[in-house]
Amino acid sequence: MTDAADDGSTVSSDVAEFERIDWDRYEGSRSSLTAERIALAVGLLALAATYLYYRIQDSLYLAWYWNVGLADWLLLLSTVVLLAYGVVPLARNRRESRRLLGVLRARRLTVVFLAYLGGVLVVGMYGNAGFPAGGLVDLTLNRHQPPVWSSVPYQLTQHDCVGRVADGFDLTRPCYGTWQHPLGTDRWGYDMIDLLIAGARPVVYLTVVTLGVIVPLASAVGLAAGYYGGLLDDVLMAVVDAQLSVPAIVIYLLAWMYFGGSMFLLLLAFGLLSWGGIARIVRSETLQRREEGYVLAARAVGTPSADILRRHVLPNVTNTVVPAAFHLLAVLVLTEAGLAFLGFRAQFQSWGLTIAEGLFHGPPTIVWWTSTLPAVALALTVAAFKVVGDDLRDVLDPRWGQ
Amino acid sequence: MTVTDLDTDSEPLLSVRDLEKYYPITEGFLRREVGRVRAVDGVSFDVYPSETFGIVGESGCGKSTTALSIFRLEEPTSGEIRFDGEDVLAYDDDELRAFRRRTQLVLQDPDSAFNPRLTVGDAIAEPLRVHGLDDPEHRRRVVEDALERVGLEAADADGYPHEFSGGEKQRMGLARALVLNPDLIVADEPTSALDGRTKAEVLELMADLEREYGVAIVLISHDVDLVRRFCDRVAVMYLGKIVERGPTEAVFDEPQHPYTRVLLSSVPSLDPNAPTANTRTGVGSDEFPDASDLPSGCRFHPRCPAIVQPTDVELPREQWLSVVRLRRHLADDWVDADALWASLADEGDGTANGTLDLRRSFDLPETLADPDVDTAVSDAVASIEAGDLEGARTRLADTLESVCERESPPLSEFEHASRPVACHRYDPDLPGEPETGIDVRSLED
Repeated sequence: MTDAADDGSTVSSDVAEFERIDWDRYEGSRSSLTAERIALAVGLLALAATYLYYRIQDSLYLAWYWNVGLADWLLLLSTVVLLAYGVVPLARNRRESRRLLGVLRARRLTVVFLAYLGGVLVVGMYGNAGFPAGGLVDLTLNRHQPPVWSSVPYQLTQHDCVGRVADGFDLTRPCYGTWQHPLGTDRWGYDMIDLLIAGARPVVYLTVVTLGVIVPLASAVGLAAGYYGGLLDDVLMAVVDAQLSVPAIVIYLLAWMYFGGSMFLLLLAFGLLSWGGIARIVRSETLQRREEGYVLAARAVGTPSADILRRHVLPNVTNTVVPAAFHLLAVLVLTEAGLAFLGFRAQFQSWGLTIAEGLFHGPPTIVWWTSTLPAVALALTVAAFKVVGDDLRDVLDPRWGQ
Repeated sequence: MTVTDLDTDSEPLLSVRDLEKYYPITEGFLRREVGRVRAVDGVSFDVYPSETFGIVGESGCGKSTTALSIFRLEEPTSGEIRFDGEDVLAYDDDELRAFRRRTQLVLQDPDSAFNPRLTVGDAIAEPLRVHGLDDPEHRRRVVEDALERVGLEAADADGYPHEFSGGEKQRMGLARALVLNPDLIVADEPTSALDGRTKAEVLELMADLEREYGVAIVLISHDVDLVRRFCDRVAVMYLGKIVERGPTEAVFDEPQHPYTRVLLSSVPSLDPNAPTANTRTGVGSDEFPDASDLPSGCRFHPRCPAIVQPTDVELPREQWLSVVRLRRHLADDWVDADALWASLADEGDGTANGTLDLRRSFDLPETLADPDVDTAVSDAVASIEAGDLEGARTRLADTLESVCERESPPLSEFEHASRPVACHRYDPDLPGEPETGIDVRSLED
């Protein structure tokens, strides 16, 4: 039946294209070298080279004022994964990227929140690498300076008002804000803008590491457990149950007592112990998706199970994974802020710590900017995670994005 | 390239022998096996090149599992599958991949058959990609050509599945099955999710494709009408077994197995005044047994209108069938005797609370022709009145048990049957005539 087309003698315009393929010439797909894998390999090599360079060179800083520690290497590793499996597929599949852009154009709010999150990440990275210790090295000793449009009783500035002070000797006479500190300063004299920038740094670590390592790990565990089932499922879900029964926050606090605060410890504690929920969701979604006709159809043509998981199951569990991942991000950012608020800080300065400083040291209603500004930044970030998580789900689904 | 007449001298393309697929029912942490669902229980048939072969039966009879087992999408428990003379169960990875290229599956539900996240073009190109056609341009050409050959447009390749109707998606399913130029397509209820006209169009398309590309098609359906129109040969399946097999016309024009008759009678008639085969509740003949708890002997016996009468029971046919109805009613899962009485009362046979009433409910005369049976019925009624349903069942079984309840009939070519049929009626060594004129409604008052 296939011969008629292959020997060339009877080829006519009415021979279907598929009849002309001589399948003896083709072997199974050898697509082990996908663009994603190449990008991942290149990225990992570049990372290794960077590490060697850092060890050989004679500076504390990797670049600019970036003092890299374990958390930063984890951050770079996660970035490589995100680039390889987030950006490369988008760049390759231009039709899909165009569709996403088209859908986003009609969703202003999503774009606004996405831009805000992007801004927080850029600012946080600037805080990491742009100047030493997030710009909080040199104390100006200009304490409790008010924002430029506001004023504060002169007394609260420790009798050191940078701007104009009202005439008289009354201790409560207003000290006015200046452009030297547009958003004012806190009780140590740190500029609020520097504090806001420094406070964005934990968000960078948490976001990139969660999206680049924790969520992929949780998804892989959930997919494998749900798709293959059997013993693998039992073992993986036992691991998940075990980690769900160990609260990450307790482990972090214990570690904090022994090792002190460190971003790497925070990432380790929550990275190892907080993904069980997502793994369970992915597993239950996978159990449903694997019964779908398109999975059966893919199996029937001999698609390898890794491809079925990647092309058919994974894209269809994003409906739940994307909102769950962004919810986890919101929870982690809030947890970090809460811990810092209570004093268990992971890093020098974070929004949570700044809020606590503003609330507990100085009359909070009068020096309102010291706690309100970081609280607003934190609240906006958490809200943005929730909104973006829900909206990205709709945007990614071709059935919704019309 | 059209092959319409079956050339039985040629080698079968697909040959299935004694195919069995059991699903274990397990309990507890150690997954101890406590039972089995015999989804497919010894099925044999051949499919020849370029023919259309139908497997027909009610849902749950194991026809879909048969399809999946043939393709090793469910690993068969035992049996033999040969494709083009090769042992499918012995295939290594490379051979299995070649097998998956030459055989294709078309699914029942077009809405679930396509990944909502992939464009139609990507979905149809996937088989090509998997089998090593790495050039995207070439894949695109094949996909567009295939789309046009199933009556769609090349530009449809850029759409997403949700943008198309069920009929269009089923055409795309056929395009996806065609791009690998297979020798065999198994279509599992390909039209059951479609409405009347679309159904006919898709069926017509399948017939065209079969003619044009010489592909053998196995059509799996519960729809007798569909199989009758489309298939050269047919196998009728009931609870994991084939009960009758042969050329479509012969099987449906002169059904030999009582089940085939029941199946045919369940096709709705166009005449509104024609009696329907719908049965009254509780009679038992419309109930589909649980595949994990199969009836003994012939699996169809609890529903069979032609159950063989034991030689030592001397009753007129009418009375025999009435006694059978009594036994089937009794065999249902009653909570207690009161529930049984209540069910009879519901049927409007008066206040059924005595011997006479029970007999009347099942049209039994006060005295049955066979004294042994008469005693058995009286004893059974006494047991029921005493609240002992199990005792009544056993008492009746002792006297009335049919060969159909004891022995499973093999699918074989009997003297009186013109084709393979699995029914004791055709076994010359057993009592009972191959009564071809049995009225399937005789048990369905």
